[in-house]
Amino acid sequence: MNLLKKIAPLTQNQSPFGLLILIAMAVYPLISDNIFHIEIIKLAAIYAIFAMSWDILTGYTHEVNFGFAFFIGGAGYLSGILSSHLPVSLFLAIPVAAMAAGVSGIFIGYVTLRLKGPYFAMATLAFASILYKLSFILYEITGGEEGISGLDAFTDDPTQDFFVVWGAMVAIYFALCLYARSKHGIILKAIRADEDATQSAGINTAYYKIEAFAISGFMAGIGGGVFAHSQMHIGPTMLSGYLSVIVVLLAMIGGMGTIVGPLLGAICLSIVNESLRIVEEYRIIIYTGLLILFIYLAPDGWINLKFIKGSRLLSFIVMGDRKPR
Amino acid sequence: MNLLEVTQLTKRFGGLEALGDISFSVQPGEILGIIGPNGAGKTTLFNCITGFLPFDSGSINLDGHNIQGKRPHQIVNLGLTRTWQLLKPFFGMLVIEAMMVPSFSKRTKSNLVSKKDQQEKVAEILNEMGLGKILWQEVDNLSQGELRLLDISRALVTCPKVLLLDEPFSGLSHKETENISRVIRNLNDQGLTVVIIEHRLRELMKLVQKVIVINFGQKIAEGLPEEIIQEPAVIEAYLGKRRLEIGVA
Repeated sequence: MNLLKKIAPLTQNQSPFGLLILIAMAVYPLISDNIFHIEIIKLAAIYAIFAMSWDILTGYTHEVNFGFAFFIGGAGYLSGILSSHLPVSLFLAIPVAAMAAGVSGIFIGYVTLRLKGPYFAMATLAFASILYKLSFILYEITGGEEGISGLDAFTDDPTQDFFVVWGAMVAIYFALCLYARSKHGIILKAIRADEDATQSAGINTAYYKIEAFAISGFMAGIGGGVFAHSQMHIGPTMLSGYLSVIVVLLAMIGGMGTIVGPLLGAICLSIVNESLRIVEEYRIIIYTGLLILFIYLAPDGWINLKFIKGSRLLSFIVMGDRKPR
Repeated sequence: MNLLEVTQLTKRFGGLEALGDISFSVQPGEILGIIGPNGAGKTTLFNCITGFLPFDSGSINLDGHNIQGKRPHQIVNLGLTRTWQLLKPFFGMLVIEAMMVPSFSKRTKSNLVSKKDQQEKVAEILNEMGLGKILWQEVDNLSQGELRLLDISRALVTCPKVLLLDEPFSGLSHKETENISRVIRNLNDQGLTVVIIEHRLRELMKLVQKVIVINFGQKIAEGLPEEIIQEPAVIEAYLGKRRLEIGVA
């Protein structure tokens, strides 16, 4: 009974829809042994980690972080270098790399504290570009254009590999939900509405913004490390602007500031993207066309659609909100 | 002893002197009104006192603490809270969530240690304000008057010693104005010190015990409300100077 009480915050107000997605993803490999499909879901899970950890900063404060590849690729490279050049197990390398990403999140958060809107986006973009260039300049360690191949894998079996990734995703999902529903999430939402008013409520807004940056960086670092080792490869594409932009799009289309939205967006769109490989020559056109269409039809994202928010039943199913009348 | 003491406060924006040598003091339990025409520097004065703007010279003392160079949230935690002329509501949140935000401040936590006390305080303030019914509504759906009350409630959750109200009546109907006047008078009866900036002199004069008049960044008068409205300098600031020659002709 005591234990139940302790885990109560984890289960209370959980979005039934989000839980359903997590369970469905875990069930699929048990009923199917199509390696190709499992690989696709694994990739989708990794993108979900990126989108959710991006959301905790940008979705809750509306300061668009356009350099998210900095954390993903930076941590991926660090964990790859640690485990391939040094005798470090990947189960140590990934947390160390994620910590480094979190610490650099504190640094970037501090430096960009006073920047707003496009200036903030540009500054974060610049940090990612610096790292991108560095991956070519320091080719002796990073392998330059080719990156580092032959990284340690989690397991030898793709299905078990998938469950490692899935486990990381579920852990990050619950951690971020817990954070977003705590006082920290409420304060971040207040900062999004008005920073001055939050300060005049006696809240040190700078602290909470930097904290969100650090957590966002740390979670993305875990995602980056997991990505590198599950692909057994790390290259400059993981630091590129393309990755940053795709993370922004996945989270925006899913619905910013909800955690479950980016989860949904990342998983659906990644699966769509990979399914379009059957018409490879038109894939990019169809895929980007779809993204534009979704942004046009639901600018605030699927989860934030008016008819979902307005209906008590739907908002409970999707968001887990239980509003008393 | 003075609760809030402003001494020779000066603030310049480039060559423009927005506030020049302003001095005044506020006694505990008092309601002080600050009036002046548009652009006189009233809001700048508030911004300087609350730490949102740095000032050039002078000093501000709050209950024995010099608050120069302190950041806004630190000043709130010393017991001085403000509301905003242009409302800055927490859009996108529920009323109850918006009211939780100030209860996370250091000052509220040290005054009301347990979570239960904090929640009771929030509930008590909301009921007093007449906002008890809209607890679970979204802030986006509230009327201007309700937003005003919510803004004042937010300030009150931080357990202030001094409350600075920046034009609390602007944009409100007559009924809403009366409601807020009543709230302010109640708070003052409970011992809260209040400083009000206001344009609507009729409502203000009924409320305050002392008035300061500012024009072009200078303090031009100070005194009881009845005296102030007789003061030639104040009449001139508001209505302009009578041109005698034309008047005679």
